[in-house]
Amino acid sequence: MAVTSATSTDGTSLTISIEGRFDFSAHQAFRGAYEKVSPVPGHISVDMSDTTYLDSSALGMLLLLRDHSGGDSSNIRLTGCNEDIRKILTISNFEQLFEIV
Amino acid sequence: MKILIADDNTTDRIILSRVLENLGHEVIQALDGALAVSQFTEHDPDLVLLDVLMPGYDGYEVAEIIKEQSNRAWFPIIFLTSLTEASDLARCIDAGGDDFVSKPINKIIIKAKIDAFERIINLYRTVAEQQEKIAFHNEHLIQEQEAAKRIFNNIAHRGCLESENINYHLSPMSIFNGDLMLAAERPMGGMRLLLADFTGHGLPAAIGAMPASEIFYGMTLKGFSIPDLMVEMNKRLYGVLPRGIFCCVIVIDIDTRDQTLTIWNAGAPDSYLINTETGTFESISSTHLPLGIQSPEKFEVLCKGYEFTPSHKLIAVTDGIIEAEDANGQMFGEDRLLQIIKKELCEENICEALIKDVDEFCGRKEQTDDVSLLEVSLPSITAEEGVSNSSQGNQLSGTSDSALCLRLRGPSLANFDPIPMVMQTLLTCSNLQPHRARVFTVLSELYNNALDHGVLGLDSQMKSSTSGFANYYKKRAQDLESLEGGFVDVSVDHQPTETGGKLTFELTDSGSGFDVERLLKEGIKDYSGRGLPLLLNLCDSIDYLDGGSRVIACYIWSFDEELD
Repeated sequence: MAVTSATSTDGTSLTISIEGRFDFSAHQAFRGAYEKVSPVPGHISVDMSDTTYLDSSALGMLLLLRDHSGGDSSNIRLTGCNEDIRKILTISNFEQLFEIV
Repeated sequence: MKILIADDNTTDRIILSRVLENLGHEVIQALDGALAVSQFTEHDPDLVLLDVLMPGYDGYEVAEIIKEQSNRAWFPIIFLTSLTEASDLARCIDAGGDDFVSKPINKIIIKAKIDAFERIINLYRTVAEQQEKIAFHNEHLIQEQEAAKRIFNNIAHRGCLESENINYHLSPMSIFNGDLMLAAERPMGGMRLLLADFTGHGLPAAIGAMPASEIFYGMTLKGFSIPDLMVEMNKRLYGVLPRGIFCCVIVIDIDTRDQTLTIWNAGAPDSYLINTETGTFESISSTHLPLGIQSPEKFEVLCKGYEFTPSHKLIAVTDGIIEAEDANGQMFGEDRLLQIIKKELCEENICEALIKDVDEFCGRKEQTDDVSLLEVSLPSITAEEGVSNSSQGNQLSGTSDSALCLRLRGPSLANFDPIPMVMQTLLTCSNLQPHRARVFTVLSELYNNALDHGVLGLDSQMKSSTSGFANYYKKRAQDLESLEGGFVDVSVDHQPTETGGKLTFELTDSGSGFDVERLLKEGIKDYSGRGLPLLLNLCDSIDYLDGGSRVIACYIWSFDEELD
């Protein structure tokens, strides 16, 4: 598991990428990736192209990110989800909270 | 430090003693091997300096004896030797020594070595202290968990989970895995079950289980519907759970009499509705966000209804079983789960077979700690009695002589279920307690008829097939949501009699009525059709007036009545 993040030069968008399993072990790194960016960027993408799996604690982390970036007014895209990940997101009906592309 | 010096050479011993005393150490002297052993036992020194060649026991023997005797985790032995052969020096270490110093002793070297060993001794001490602390805390934590488990188990008790129509698997420490399984008999007959999975592990996951179970048992007993129950549970969990912790849930109502099953899945894996006779099955997928995520204003519950005969079975799981891993980190997976369900379809106990397979797959027993599995079939009709023998003599109490009227209009018909409220009011008359299930059934049948067939004008024939059932509930929910006009009047009159009491229910709806004679004939043949045969059976009289839009039902009860 490795979490990397990049902020656009104008500071309006943030991309967080997760490599490997997205589970509780990513907790610190994932939180760090968005908490260090101030002010909170208007657009956030979580790139899961290299993510193999995510568990329910990862869903919790996504909710924390959503809360941090404005809750219902947040704008978060989950990109590059593989079939397994998409299935888990669908079971939890997370498409109501995140834009899954 | 306390240092023991064993050397038969008096000059060497005294010089070394002075050196060490000048460095601030306490020194104990021994003239030979045997004395070294007894001095060691008596003084328990921190470090031992041993001459290799001594009369009686030599240094090697002393080292072996005292290392064996000591109950300290570790203490250093440094050999003092004039031997220079590599094999002799190696033997010092083999015998349990930690280092050696050549004679004649160089003050600077011996000081340096003792200082180095002092650091190691201190390190050992710190580690030992920390270990002790950790052991203490660990012990403490286990005790706390045991106590907490007992408290949790009292609150989140399993209700009627031991009923014969249920097979389940739930680990004893499941509460700390965030899994919860609850079952209760419904006051109107049948059963309600809940399988919940809180995210995370340990206390944070367990804490949410407390309000969830209290709400489950409290509201089910009072006869609240699944949507009302879930709205309340979500509201509470949304309030108490921190963001990031949520609760996936499957909630199931089984109506024994109608042989129907109502289910709502929010965030849990697919449940499977199996027909053991035809070998067919249906997946029931999650249709909603888990509890504790969505604000109460946006929260909405839409249940699905299915036919549920004695040849049907429902299997519900949490993600533990799907995510169970084998030695190579391969997950059990949904496909495998489905395969086994298909294979074991006709087994009496599918749950057992599944758990066995998960165990074999994982290759380790403890994996199933995280697995919660529920298998349920139609409860026998006796399970619905729910009659408590709370006979309190013939002294009337509470609302034994009362009348209650309520009119619900338009949106309130969609938003409010009056049955729990009316039931609660009626049951303040404790003599009525033994009749609770029957009164509940009469009231809910009458009210649902007035609302579904009267106000909404739904055709009960729709419910005669499995797909029709689902459509019926879908249409009902849609119609309710868009309902603007319409009303239902509910009035309940309770009068005491010589032998007990008489309940008169009068319900009037804004619908256009129905052909009472025709439905009476057809209804008796079929489980659909307004539950009329049942009402006729339970009530002393039923009269339809105003072309079917008004009904008056009488229920006469007596003290100490034997209920079948």
